[in-house]
Amino acid sequence: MRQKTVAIVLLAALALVAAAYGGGKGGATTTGATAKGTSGAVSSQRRGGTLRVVRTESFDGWVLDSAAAYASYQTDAAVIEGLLRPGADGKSVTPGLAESWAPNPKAHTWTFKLRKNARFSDRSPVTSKDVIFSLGIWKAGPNFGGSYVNIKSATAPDKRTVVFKLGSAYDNTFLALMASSVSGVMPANFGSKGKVAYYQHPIGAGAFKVDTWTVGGRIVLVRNPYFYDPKRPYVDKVVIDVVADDSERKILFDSGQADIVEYVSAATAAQYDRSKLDVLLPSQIEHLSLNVSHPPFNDVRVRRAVANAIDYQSIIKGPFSGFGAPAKGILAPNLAGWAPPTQPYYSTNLKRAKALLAGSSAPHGAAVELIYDSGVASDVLVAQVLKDNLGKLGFNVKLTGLETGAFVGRAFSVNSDMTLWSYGAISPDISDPLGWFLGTKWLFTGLPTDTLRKQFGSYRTAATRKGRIVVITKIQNQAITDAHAIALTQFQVIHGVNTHVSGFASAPWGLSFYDTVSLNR
Amino acid sequence: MNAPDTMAPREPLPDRSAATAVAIDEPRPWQRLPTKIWVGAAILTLFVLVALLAPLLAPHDPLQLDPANRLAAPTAAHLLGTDELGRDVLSRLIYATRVDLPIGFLGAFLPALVGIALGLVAGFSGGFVDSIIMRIADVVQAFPSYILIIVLVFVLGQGVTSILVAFTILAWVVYARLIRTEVLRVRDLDYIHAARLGGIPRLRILRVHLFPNVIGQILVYFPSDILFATLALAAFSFLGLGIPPPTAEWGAMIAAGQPYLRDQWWLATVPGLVIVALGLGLSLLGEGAEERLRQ
Amino acid sequence: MGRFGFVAKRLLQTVPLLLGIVLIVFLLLKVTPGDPVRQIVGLRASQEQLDAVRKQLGLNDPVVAQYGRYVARLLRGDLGYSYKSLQPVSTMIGDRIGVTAWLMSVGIILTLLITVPLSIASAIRKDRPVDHVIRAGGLVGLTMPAFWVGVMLLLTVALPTGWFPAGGFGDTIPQHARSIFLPALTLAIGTAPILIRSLRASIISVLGSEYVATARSLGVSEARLIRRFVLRNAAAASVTLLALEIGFLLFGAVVIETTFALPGVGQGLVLAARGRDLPAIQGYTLLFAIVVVAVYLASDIATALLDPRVEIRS
Repeated sequence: MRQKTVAIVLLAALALVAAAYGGGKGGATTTGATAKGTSGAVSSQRRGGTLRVVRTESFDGWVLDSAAAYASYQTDAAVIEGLLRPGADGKSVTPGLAESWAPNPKAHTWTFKLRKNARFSDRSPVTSKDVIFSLGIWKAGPNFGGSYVNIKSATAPDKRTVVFKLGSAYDNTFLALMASSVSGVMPANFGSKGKVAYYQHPIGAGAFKVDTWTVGGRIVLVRNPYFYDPKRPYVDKVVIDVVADDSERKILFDSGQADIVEYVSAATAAQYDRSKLDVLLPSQIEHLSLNVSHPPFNDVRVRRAVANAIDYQSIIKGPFSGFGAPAKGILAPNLAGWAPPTQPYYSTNLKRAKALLAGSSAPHGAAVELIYDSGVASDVLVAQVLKDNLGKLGFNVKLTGLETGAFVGRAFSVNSDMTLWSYGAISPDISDPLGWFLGTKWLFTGLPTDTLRKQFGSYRTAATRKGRIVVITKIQNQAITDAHAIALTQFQVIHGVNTHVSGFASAPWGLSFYDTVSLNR
Repeated sequence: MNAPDTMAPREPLPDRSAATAVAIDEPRPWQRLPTKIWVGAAILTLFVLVALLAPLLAPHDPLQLDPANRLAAPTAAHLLGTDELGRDVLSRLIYATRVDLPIGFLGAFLPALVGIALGLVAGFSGGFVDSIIMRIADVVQAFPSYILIIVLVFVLGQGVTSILVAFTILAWVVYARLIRTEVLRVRDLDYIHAARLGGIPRLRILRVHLFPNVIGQILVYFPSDILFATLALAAFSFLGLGIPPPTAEWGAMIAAGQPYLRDQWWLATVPGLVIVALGLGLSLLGEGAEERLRQ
Repeated sequence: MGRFGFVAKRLLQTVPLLLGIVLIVFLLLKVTPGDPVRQIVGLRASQEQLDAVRKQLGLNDPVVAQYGRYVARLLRGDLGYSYKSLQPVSTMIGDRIGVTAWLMSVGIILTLLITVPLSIASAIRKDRPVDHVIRAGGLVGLTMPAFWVGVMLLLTVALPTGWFPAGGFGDTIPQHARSIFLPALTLAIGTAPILIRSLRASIISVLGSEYVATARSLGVSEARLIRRFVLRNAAAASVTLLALEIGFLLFGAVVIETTFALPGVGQGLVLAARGRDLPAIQGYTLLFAIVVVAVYLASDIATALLDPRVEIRS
């Protein structure tokens, strides 16, 4: 799942539920698309116990900017909380360290009011000085720093107020950006710990503090006694383990040794007791990216032929065990700001594909290479289905499974004919995927990104909801016409949640907060 | 035997060089082979036949996908059920012999060639060359093989070549040490000195005095080395470094069946049992060879 | 050449050996695809940022210079800092080595407990049903991959009985012991067959030797014979054989730790390799190499010192 996580850069936060946030024009509606949690958070939840989580990805560490795996976003957010939290519906933002926030479009500012009782785990109160210091760190990050480019400055009229000055009247990406785990608030000057020492043992204002951790090993979090909500977290401790083997994870879950299994792979989900699975709304896109910089895929007719030769249903039924739906476009669904294309999506039609190919520059197919991450079970299977599908068109596909490190290197260099990967958002706004496209040479296709960059800018500063929809629809349609990045399916994140766990509420892309969970044992 | 035995007690096989040199009237060796060798050879021949006749024996195309019918239990149409993409398991098992047998064999044969060559060079040259070769052997044996395998496969890419290169680099040491020990031993025997003085060429000495001894030990070790090569291939597949999919290969089938061990346990188990059967044939061959040589 | 001279010489020989191994790892990692700097800084960093960090880490310097620096630090006992966690590599190894040590020790004990009785039984009842069953079982144990055996043990033993946890290492010593049993058993099942085969052959030849025949003709009971001539030698011989298989055992540790989610150095190595964490990879490799070399050395020395019949060749 490295690919999903890496994929999304929080680029922009839409003023989603503008109404709920007291300002800003327009706003995406939260259309009843709530995540299916096991049960809602109730104030009468039992307190105490140790939550045991098992996941397959290892954690990148506490440097927020380096977060690439979902494991990192999830764990960072539990300790180093930000001003806002993403809502479990995946389209809204909810209060974090800030209790209220309001925009002033005329002055290009957003004003945040910090909670009175927000404290770091070392008891020191969270003040605007800490937020301003953190902004400096966020802006300097080599990975996500570019997302903050529209925040020109921040001032602190008093200890509990921070005023962000933006470069435009509207910035629809701003709130989602503040809700991402990259925007965690750190104590000013790293709490006089020094940078290296801080990142080895960070201090945050989240619901938990770090007890012990190792890269790729066990992470132990314990309750932050000074957390701003005295009732939460319900559990005393969270123990997170990394278990690579699918069977092993299921065994731990069945035996009760694991309370939550994060990111159950689609391939094995069918073996779990369905009542214990939290199957979320589709939020991930599995995509086949075609390299447009050299033959045969520099010819759009060849690309369209490929798009019509793929057996989308087989991919859903096979590698994803049915936990997926036909894709409608290249953009991940169930995000604020998402809009469908007005053009029909490709259908599996081998005759049409052959006809399209016959009139192209490669009428008899070609020998091409497909690279994929051999560590992702579903990708290994999808690659084989694609090889079979394209074989019918006359393409001799060489499957090159690469171990993650090597795969990432090659993918970013865009030096293979086809790249198979997936991505998902990590922030509640459609600008997140757009940012990912921009940062990956248009999803590893090598297509020039100038147009997309302009479109992104239009989206960001659009004053009305209609304006935003127009931009997104255009992007969706164009991707279908160009057929350079083909969405194979939109699939679902699945978590395994044991029956004695309540309060688990995950956003569609998988992020949840451990402080809403309680154990009934 | 005449030659004083200065070898460490770990070498149980008797010196046969003199026996070969003089006993020309004894019945031909193959007329007195133990049963084990016959049984082992029969099993291996069966495997080879399956590999050769795969297209006739396999009921389905091993690459034919049918995702809607994935993970099916055994039925008349699919005697061993279907795998995670709906392919017929039995057909894949049969076709996998075409991949595993050659790689298993080459994975032992190539190291043997390299090892024997280096062992001869080391033994006969002595001194500095011997020292260098043995130091390299030490390094290879001490080397964390996991790293070497990863790096080799990454550098050379997935596939047969890199796997065989990795095997050769790791496995030649045993053969080299075997040969070298024998060369060193034989080199110092009195009657060899006499033969050399008498002008008998080195090659003949090799053939008559050296090979009969060591060929036995190598023949005993070789079948189990084939088994190890096949098992190593399975381990490679587990780590994602084996033969790239969708080619059917036993190790890859085991690794792919791993997530389904609870409900579709046969996917990972049956290929393993096939390897066990192969191992049985190889072991019998090896033990039979050992018995024969003791006679 | 005296015994002590032999030992000293062998000890000296290990130093260039270890340096050679580190050099090879170093060079191999240089040619491996997958940019470590990108892994460190992040996937979305720009080329300029990557280049800046590369320079900072000294990765642009000539290979010889980098190697020299590494060796110099090594001699000071400094293994460097992990690219991923910024922790000292020595600390990381220290955290993990206990788990692997548990796995290895319990695994070796179980291997010996399985090997010695079964080889003796197999040898004295040579070619009888017991012998065949043991050797067939050995073949199965050897051939079925460790990850299969491990999960099978979990499904058939751990889950139904609840006596053993399904994975992980636990927090207290009793928990450690219970957690490590099945993984160690998996290791033993894979390793014992090799030893049983060798040991069985040795025992058979011992039982057929002249001095045993003499003892037998003098009326010594079979059981006494076994105790006197076989048991002691078998135990010693199997330890020697185990020592030779140390590389095999360590590889098994990697697979088994990954399967059972044990936070040992095997799992650490896999993670470091995936993340291109060069200092960590070098640290783990050095550790593995030292262990292997030390075990070979100990085994050689023990054999040389204890067995007067062996001529010590230089």
